[in-house]
Amino acid sequence: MNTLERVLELIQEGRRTPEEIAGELGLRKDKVEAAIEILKALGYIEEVHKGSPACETCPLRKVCGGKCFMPAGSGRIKVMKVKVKR
Amino acid sequence: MAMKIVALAGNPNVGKTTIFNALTGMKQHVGNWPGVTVEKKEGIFEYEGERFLVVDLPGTYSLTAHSIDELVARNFLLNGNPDVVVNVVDATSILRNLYLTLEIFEMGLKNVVVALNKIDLAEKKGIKIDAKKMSKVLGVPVVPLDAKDGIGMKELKDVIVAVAHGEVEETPIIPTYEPAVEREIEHISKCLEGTKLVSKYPVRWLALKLLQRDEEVMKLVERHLGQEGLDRVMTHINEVEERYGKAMDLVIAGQKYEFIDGLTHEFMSYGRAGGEPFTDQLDRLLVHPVYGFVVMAIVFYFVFKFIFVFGLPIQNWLAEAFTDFGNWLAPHIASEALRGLLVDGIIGGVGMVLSFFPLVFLLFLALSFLEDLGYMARIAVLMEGILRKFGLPGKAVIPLILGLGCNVPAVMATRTIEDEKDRLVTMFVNPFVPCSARLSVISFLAGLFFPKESALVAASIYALAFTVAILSAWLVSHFVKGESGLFVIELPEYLVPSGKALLLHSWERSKEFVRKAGTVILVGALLIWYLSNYPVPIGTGGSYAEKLGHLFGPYMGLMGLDWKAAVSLLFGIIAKENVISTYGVLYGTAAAIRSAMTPLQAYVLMAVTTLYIPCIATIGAIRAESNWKWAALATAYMITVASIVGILIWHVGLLLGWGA
Ligand SMILES: Nc1nc2c(ncn2[C@@H]2O[C@H](COP(=O)(O)OP(=O)(O)OP(=O)(O)O)[C@@H](O)[C@H]2O)c(=O)[nH]1
Repeated sequence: MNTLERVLELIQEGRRTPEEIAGELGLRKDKVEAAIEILKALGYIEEVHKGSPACETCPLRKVCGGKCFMPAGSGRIKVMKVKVKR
Repeated sequence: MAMKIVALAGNPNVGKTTIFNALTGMKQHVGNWPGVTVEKKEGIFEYEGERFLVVDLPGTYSLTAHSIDELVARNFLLNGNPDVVVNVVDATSILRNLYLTLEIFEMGLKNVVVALNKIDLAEKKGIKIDAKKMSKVLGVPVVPLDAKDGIGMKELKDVIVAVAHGEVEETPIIPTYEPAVEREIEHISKCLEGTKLVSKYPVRWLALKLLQRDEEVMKLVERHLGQEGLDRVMTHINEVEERYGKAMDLVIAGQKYEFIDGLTHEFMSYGRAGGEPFTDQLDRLLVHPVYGFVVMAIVFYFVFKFIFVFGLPIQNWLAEAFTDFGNWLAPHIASEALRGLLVDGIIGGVGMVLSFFPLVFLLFLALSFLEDLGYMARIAVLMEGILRKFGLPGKAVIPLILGLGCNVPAVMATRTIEDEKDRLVTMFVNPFVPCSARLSVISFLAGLFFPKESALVAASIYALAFTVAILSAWLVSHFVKGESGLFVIELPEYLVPSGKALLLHSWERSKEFVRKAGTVILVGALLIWYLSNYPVPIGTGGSYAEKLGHLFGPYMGLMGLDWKAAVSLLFGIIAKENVISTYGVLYGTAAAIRSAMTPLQAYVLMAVTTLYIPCIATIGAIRAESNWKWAALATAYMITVASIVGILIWHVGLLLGWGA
């Protein structure tokens, strides 16, 4: 499996930060970030900006640096699931 | 003669606009690309009397057909007949940028100039790039640039013009894939041979795009080969993908990524060891599931050290000041009942609680400092990962951290958890997180009974509380499911906190403690004073407080505590600070409390106070957010857990000989 596929796999397993993925694969963080951008360009993951509906239920929204990446599709399902209580 | 065309291509935010402006000056025109709402910027660039049309393409990471931006850029490169393509590359992230560069090369363009921008930033980051070698490796001119300061622009203009005039021979490097993929490229290329397509587009590029199921190219092929021809090719690709067990676009992109990674080693190196910025290395440590936890424990130990070293002396001084005030006031009040009420009830109870304000303030100061610094974000990521492992929804991390201040807003914060069961579990375990009220009890007893190791003792109680919370979540999660969305976040940058903002923030958060002292705690203290003085004064065995205490006395005995502890804990239900104020009212002075208990008993009391029950306000919040049943269940569960923990600590402590 090549690096790109391994990065995608770790995202699908629930890793939360490029740092964690970099640590696990023994890569520099910028290489992981490059992989994430390429995966995004390929449509495997999508970028979500702070303030989008998906953020409302995000566990880490308070500490978000501005954007995140979600596996494509899962993100959309997530967005539709959002119900705001009261 | 028609104007020659210069196209600017590159990733977003690489400095294309800066370069565009530097080339064209004021001679710009902004419109839209035909048929779409993507902005098109054009301008005129003049060089020794010759005019060139500069077209700024949308910033993209690749040239697939996934987005309009990419399609616009790609179509212009393929059909717009640019005389020169200036590919702006960000020198601080070469790997990501060259992905696009190689896609441009694969399109068969032989008039590309790489503008290696932001070299000033790259240098600062310790990234060394040998532009000459890079040019040799890539097979096209590479011009290092600091467009912001205009450095290298003259060279860039020279090269653009030379390429436009066909004075530069280019041999752009084409990525090679593993043999199996190369065979497929060849096979598909053969299928396309003989069509008009091949004279318009590089056949290798068409084959690659078909392998990646590029919809635009598929349409193109259908137009030339017919539906049947396309079906034939796609059936073959289906077989290939079945053989690989995954989509070919991922395989091809992955191999291209490795190919580029290999190339960069030839012309790029990092100044420092490994070249990774210190903050990246730090982040890796801080979010590591094991080391990150160790660091967190150490940090919190120092937080408590800080609170105690600076806070306890002030607390002592305040407590003495309240006592002195009471002593001074007492002779001035004739009525015995009023004197008792004011001196023992209000000053003894509320004063004792208020004296802990400095500690609470310092806790918030430390937490705000860590938050502004960016460390709390790392803790949140770390905790979230741990929570998920224990079956709690990751989202519980916000309520848990809020709980350090007060459990009421923390319970309300569970509203953001959309899954009802997850929400209930999070609410259930939240009251275990020691709020600032419990900090005052913990610091009171730790300071009094463990003067030398107070920070360590306090930290151990917090660790105990979090462990109980997480284990409880794990237990409860067996009955409910926990699921968190998948996402990868960017950690915020580290910042140096500003002193003024910190103070304001800390006051904002800790003033509730003072407000509470004037309301709930005051009423509580008065009630305690009344119950311990009527119908007869305490010590005779006939006061309401003693009667109440003796009711629970035998049970408290199981964990080495007496009826006074029982009374304190009972009043603590109203607000946890009352545990201290009750001791204040019952004993009068800290010294008297010190001589009435052993350190082991004090430790048990700390643990039990932390775990035993949510205060009334928190129970109310749980009821409001769920129902009475759940609030009652949480309360019963906490009492049980606190009893077990208290009894365990007491008996294990006795066994270890710590009873004295
Ligand atoms: N340090 C440094 N910063 C630069 C350089 N060139 C551009 N920048 C900065 O990089 C940022 C992005 O520059 P832009 O010119 O807007 O980039 P762009 O590629 O047009 O960005 P998009 O419009 O988002 O595609 C700006 O803040 C520039 O000031 C450079 O050579 N050195």
